[in-house]
Amino acid sequence: MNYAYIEQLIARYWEAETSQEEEQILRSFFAQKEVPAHLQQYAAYFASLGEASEQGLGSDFDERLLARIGAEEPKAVRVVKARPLTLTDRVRPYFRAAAAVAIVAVLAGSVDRAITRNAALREARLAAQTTQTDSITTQMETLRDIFSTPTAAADSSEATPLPAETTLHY
Amino acid sequence: MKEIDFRLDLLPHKNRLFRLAMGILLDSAEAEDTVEDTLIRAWEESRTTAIDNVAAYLTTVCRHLALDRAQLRSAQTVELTPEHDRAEEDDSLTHERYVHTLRLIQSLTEPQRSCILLRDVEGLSYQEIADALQLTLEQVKVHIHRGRAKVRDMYSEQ
Repeated sequence: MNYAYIEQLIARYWEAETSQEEEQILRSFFAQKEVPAHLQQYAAYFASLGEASEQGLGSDFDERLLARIGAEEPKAVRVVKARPLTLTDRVRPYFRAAAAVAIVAVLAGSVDRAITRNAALREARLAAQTTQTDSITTQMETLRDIFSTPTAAADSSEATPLPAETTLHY
Repeated sequence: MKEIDFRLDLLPHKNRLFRLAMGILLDSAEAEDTVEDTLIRAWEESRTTAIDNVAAYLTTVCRHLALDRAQLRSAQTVELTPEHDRAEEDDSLTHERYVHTLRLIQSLTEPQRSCILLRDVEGLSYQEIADALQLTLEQVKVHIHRGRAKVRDMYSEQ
């Protein structure tokens, strides 16, 4: 196997020219058990850097600190909880609700008005048209009345036996 | 700036802070105490002030607390029985190979030591190190270059 890449990484590492990724490659390479003899010189160094980077504190540390913090935390929380509720604070939700309702009402109202106005306009136009037709119809009806009156008269005259029948009889 | 949550924003840094303190103090109990002090201080600070860069802030505080402790200890061990303390410390640590390397790094002077620890143990970028140690990018590069050169020399001497 050719170790030229690792060798040049090591050389560049000592010159502080390696990137974070390249340094990670070095630590990983030396973390393996089998390292060629000629690279043994610094093997312990790079491997130990890898080992050092794995050191840490256990969960008992967390618990101890959280307990220490927890002892201080309730005070802060209690201060917030103990804040006296003013009348405004207490009523604020209702104001909010009322405002929301008002907004909805206003919106609904304007929409409704717009619709109504449209409808009214249409109705008015329709009404105007109808009045025109109406007047014509009325005129026509009047005319028909006038014309039909003689018929009615004729009808009524028909109802009465025509004495003229005989007279008309030549 | 959102509010800092101890469990979510501070506690996840405990391991890297521990390694930093360990690199300076070479004593796991003292390193643990340093991390505890760091996190508690950050927590109390965050109650009153907004912390912009939590990671860099924690690194700075932890490093300073560890350096203070190291200084205090070196002052004390002169009066106490240093051999006994050393021997006890060695007992608990010598079986671990990484402690040997940490010793080498520990023998570097500040801020070379912190630069090497943050780069080679924590894998931070040069910029992150510069932020945490309040150095310029160029200074960080120089410290790492010189620090590594010293480590290499120490290894060659063995």
